[in-house]
Amino acid sequence: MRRFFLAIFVLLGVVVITFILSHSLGGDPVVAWLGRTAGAHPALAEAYRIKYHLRDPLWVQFYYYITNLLQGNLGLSPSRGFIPVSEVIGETLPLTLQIAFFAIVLTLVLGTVLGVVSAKYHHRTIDRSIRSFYLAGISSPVFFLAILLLIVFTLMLHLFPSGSAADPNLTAPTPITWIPMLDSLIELNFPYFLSSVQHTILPSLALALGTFGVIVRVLRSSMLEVMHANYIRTARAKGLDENTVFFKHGLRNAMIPVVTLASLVITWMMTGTIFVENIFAYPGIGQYVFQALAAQDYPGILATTLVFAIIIVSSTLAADILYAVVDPQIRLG
Amino acid sequence: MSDQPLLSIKNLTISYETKSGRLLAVDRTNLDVDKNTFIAVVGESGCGKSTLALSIIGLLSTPPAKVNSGIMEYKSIDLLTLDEKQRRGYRGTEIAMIFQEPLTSLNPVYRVGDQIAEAVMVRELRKGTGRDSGIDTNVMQKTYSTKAAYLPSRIPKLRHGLTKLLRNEIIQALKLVRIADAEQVIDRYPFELSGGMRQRIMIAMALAEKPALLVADEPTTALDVTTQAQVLKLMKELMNEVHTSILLITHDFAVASQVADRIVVMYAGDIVEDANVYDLFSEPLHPYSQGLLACIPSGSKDKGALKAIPGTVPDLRNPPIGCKFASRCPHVMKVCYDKPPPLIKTKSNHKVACFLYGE
Amino acid sequence: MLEVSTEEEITYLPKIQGRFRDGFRVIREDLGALIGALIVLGFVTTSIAVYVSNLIGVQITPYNPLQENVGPALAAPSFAHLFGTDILGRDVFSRIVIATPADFSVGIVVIASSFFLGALIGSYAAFHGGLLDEALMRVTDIFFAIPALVLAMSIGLALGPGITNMTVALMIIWWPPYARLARGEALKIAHQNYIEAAKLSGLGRFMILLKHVLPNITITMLVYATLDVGTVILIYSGLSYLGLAVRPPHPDWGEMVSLYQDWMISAPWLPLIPGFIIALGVIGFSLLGDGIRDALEVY
Repeated sequence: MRRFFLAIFVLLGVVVITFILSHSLGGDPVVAWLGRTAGAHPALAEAYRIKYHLRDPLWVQFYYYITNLLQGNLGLSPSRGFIPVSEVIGETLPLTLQIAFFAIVLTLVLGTVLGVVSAKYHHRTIDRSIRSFYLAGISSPVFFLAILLLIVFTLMLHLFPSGSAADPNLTAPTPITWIPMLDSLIELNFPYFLSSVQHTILPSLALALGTFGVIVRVLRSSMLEVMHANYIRTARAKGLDENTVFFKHGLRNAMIPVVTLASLVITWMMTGTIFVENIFAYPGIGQYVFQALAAQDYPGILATTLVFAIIIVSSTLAADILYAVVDPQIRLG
Repeated sequence: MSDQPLLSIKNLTISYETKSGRLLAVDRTNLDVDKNTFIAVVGESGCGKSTLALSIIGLLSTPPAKVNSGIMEYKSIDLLTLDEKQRRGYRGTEIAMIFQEPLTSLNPVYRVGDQIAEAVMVRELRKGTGRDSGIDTNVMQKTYSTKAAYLPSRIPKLRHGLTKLLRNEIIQALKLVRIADAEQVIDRYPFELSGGMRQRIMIAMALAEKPALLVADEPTTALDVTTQAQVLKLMKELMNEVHTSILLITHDFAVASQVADRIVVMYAGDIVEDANVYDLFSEPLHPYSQGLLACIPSGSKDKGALKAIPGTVPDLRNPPIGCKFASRCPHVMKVCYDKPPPLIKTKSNHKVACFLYGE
Repeated sequence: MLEVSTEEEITYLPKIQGRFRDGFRVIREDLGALIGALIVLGFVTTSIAVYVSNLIGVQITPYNPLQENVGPALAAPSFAHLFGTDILGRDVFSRIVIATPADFSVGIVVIASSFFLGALIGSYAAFHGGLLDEALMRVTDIFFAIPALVLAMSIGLALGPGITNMTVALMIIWWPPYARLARGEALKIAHQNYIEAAKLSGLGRFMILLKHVLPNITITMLVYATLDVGTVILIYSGLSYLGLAVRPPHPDWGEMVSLYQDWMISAPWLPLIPGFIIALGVIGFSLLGDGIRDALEVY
């Protein structure tokens, strides 16, 4: 419970920070919104300023900022033709979640399998090759990996398409969960589903290749440490075969430190989408951030910062809960 | 009751390859463990008793450790000639082992009941092959690990089905080791229990597989004195109840004397004396045993200083040619430096390795 | 270095010195650490060379990095142009070389400032305890909630683009993990006997920090720092890719990737080469950091 209130507190802190940032960003927001008209019609600009409380004291502005936030009003987005930011986020976030899902699954699978293998055969050739592999992965900037994948798989091998989240010529599914991939599956709209999977795989792979390394590293050292523990000796003394000892007793304990990596992985993923979506022309929230940055769309940038923070804080909370589930000493001790 | 000992070790030599050379841990040791006996192997730290214990159950880490020679005959099979898979067949159901620190020796993420259940499952799955053959249990092991081991018995439905069968079995096992509220304890995690409780659970887990021999490596060293006494008493009683021989490893003579039928004294990798507990205490033959017994504080406030044996243990990387105790022995003779004394039998069942008593 | 009284010298200073000696031995023996050290050395020398050449106005690159049309546009790598040329006919190799000091100096500066700032704040909070400590924990929690890149981006927007501004932005946000690490280490040794002894001898809080606490927490933090340099470089290159770091036509690795992205069909090496160089730098620091960690035997 304490963790929950802590999370709320952190979010409040983030809100305050984004508010402060929004007011220290250079430039008059009205100018950003109205563009050139602001200069030509000063009276109109002033009217806007009064309407949006820009002449009011800071704490009044903060009050309106919070109330707007709670109503879901995040302002209008100049880079998207002045439609409400919340609408943009509503359109783009689910698509990014599709990528995030696959990326997390890939990262977990790659990280766990390679971590276990390199622990089991530690210091032999396969261990060293895995190490070189993941080192290259986590050292490469995510945009490098994305471009590499794009060049090899899309341009050269023509295996996966790029641009948009799914073939725009196919019929889109009806919004049930608001996540197109999921909706198409529910409706058994397989052409759309397959197409969206095709479009999602490369971006997810780019993200996964950049992050799975931390899991391998931690899992490997955790497994090596665990296999020297006394209870492993006891398990062997009971007559259990090596596989049972290794997986049921060893891995189960070694996994615990890996859970603490969850929030780190999520953070890397979310920031990664900014680059990856741009390179693959995938219309998710990452691409929105990128475009908002280029167009100096301050409402967009701030709102997405807030969204990212909310996602990270929730996942950290979920990771803490998962940690308690996995380690009984935390739960009960 | 046949005269054949349960376990017969002859000429066992084990060494460790270390950075600074080869260390001789166990040197041409001979030891017999009979059925239904309580034997205590006593010696100071580093004398090789733990190495000996681990070699009996086959859990020596063989990269640094190496069995150089010897025969370990258990039920007519030389265990040292078996490969790992065959050896594993003997672990648990024939020869079991409990260790010094019960907290770290139990898996922290599984409930105590589940861990005992695992032991019971090993036993049940091996049953088909019969207790006396128990050699190749590969097939059994595979069935066991794919079927029962992975089922998370915390899932209520499965738990009800699976561990209901085992639940009674486990409760009986806990009651055997005199744990009163077995129904509660079965669902606890190791860290929630006291040290004495945990050691009892280790014993319960080991005995659940109904081994013929239980090796206990300093099981009470990490416990406080009162609990220590309780656990030892328990072990002694159990030995008679379940007909399991116990090989107790300890550095504490007092502990050994409380419960053992026979005491084997080890020094620097050699067995120096092997006798019935009464005989050893009334008439210790080897100068080292005499020294050890003299060291035990009498408990009364007499004016004398605490006695100790002068000198130090020889460097096992470069062991002396003759008797390893020669440099500290008050009765040392010239022959003691020339060759190692063999373990000879003096009276009925009293063996000693010392030239004072013949060659 | 910090002065320590003679009694403590016997207990822990030799440990540190001995560890550094072991460190050099390990670097010689461990292939990975050796490669890492070589890579880092290579980059550092290049950085210094470029910096000095800028100061004294000498050109050390084969071509003028800013000059257009020194060769045919979009030429593939060859002996004339090691990394080829871009759409404006500029030599890519020269541009890469000239951009070297940027990433590395940002990395070193940010890590150094975060290290010292974090060490001071963290250890002071650990010793002071109470409200200050709680406040520190909450502040770091908030920092952890916002991804470094996004935060740096926002601060960068407020300050305006440019390498110095980005460096400052990163310095502002980078210290929390160090403060937490320092706090953790300081707490571990807070109850050790020699600290109690120092307190009893009447030493003021700040002096205790300086003389006793800091030298001991340094090692763990140093290991973290060496592995962290790579992360700073990655984040900075990300900011550079987003156009927040340098102003064209001056080159920077991240910015070059973003610029050359459009030609990945006709000249795929163009966006890949700067990205690869970034990865190489980060790999160098990671290998070196791993070697240092193994040498100091801190996990």
